[in-house]
Amino acid sequence: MKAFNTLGSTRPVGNTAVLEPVWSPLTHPMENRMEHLTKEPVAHQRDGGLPSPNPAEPLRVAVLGDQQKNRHAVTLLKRIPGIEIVGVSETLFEDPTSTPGHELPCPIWECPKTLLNQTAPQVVLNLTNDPEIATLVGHYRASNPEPLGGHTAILLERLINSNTESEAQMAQIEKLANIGTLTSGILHDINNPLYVILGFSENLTEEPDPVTIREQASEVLQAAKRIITMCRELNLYSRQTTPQECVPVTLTEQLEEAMKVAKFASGLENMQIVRDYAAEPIILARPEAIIQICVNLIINALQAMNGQGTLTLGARNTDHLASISIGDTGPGIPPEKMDKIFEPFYTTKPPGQGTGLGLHSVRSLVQEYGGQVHIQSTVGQGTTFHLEFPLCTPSTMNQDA
Amino acid sequence: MNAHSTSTIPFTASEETSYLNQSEDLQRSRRSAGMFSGQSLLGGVLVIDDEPHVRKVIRLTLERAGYYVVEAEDGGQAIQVLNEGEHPMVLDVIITDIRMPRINGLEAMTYFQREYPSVPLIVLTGFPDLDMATGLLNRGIADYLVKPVEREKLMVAVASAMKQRRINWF
Repeated sequence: MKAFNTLGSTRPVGNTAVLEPVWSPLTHPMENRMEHLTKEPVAHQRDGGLPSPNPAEPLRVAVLGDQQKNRHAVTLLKRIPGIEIVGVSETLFEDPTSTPGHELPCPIWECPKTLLNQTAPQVVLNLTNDPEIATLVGHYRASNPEPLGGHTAILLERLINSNTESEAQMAQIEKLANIGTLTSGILHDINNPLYVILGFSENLTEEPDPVTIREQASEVLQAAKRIITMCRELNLYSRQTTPQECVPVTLTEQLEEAMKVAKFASGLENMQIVRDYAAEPIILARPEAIIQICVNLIINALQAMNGQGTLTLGARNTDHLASISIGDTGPGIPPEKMDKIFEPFYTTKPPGQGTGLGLHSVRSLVQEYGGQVHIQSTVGQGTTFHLEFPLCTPSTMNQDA
Repeated sequence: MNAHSTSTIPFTASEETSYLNQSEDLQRSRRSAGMFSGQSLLGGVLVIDDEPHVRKVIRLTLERAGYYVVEAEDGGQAIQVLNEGEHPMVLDVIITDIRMPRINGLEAMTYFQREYPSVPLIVLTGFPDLDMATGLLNRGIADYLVKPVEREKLMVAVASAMKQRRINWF
């Protein structure tokens, strides 16, 4: 357990030289503004003036908060294009035994002061209620950031929380919708062993031969175990989960987990499945999000092939990117539809076969982890979805280490 | 089967008698053709299912009731088996799954209905699909059963398909 000081650690922070902080205890634009607003209703003067925002450049945001608040904020902000999270700092640890949540897809700083000094953010989102932090942010002037604190931060935090909740609900709805499209396969695979159990038990009630009894009882047992395994796999997938921490996840493992669910898609029995794993790429993400991405893409691929074809699952590391691919030999996506496929509720599937949310959520989840979706499709030959994520290296796992 | 020879199966007993009474000519012709060497007098059933455990259960159930059972693991193998040797004469009823690799139940049934229109088909599927059931019954299949199916239900379906087979035969 690392000890934290909200106003800065005295320990050396990484191997980067800590810049001399530029603190002014007296003046800060926001402080001034507040004073003006409370004392005299005169338009405030910005101290030195803030640089006018350039909409073309990504907005550099630093987030200060506790573990959970940071996670929610980062999750949401990461999905929005044009926002760069230059770093987060965890300043509050309510539970002294908890380990710091160093598993976020952005740089994490142990000391908020260093974070501000090193990253020169344009906006500081202060989600803490800590007056010390407010003072710290208020007095930081190096990059003239706009601090979002106090009630503004509470408002933002509530917006973020409400969004996090609806995202979680959407994810759950999507999972259940996927299960719905797999019903026939699931029922088929449950009813088969169930019939084995029924048939052998009916016989066992009249069976006099002990050897046969043992043999058939063991068949019953195996069939029951097959059902248990299947229910467990489905339950793992469909249960409602609270958003988990980002952890290093091996993409090939998640592809295989996704296959355990997607295998129920109808027509799989006649498909060729090719696994082309050149590497086992590791990225920082929530495992269930990656499984969800893979399930959506694999079900799409299987449905596109309509019972016959080759499903190719690929994985490789390139430079700083971890990439996986899911390819089908279906009809391909016509160029004029390429723009639409990521739109929510866009679907070409018959009713009951899809919600039209699959690819939309794939893209936003991939973006959440700083990744990109590339589609390679030839009409009449098939489609391959390539997902690229920043590779998880020790430096991205912990910026301060 | 030796272990079962003493147990009586109430349903099939009367069925067997009536079968023998009603179609003695058929039985005789088959016997003379060498069809029934060591095989059941009740009739032969071709069981098509990709799941070996399921085939085992159906075989056990049918054999205990006195039927002769031949297995196939998919539609392709079933077509091959049915055309093999004396099977076209011996097999009276086909029980088939729908969802199977390679040649599935629907494709195989199209073939059977064309090549062996007098052999009744019973579908035994893991997934109840009303539309498919209606469509198949309209196409003339004998029954549409959903797994897990109780022994009694299966026996009734097979026995009534056997009756249909006898009607078709003449």
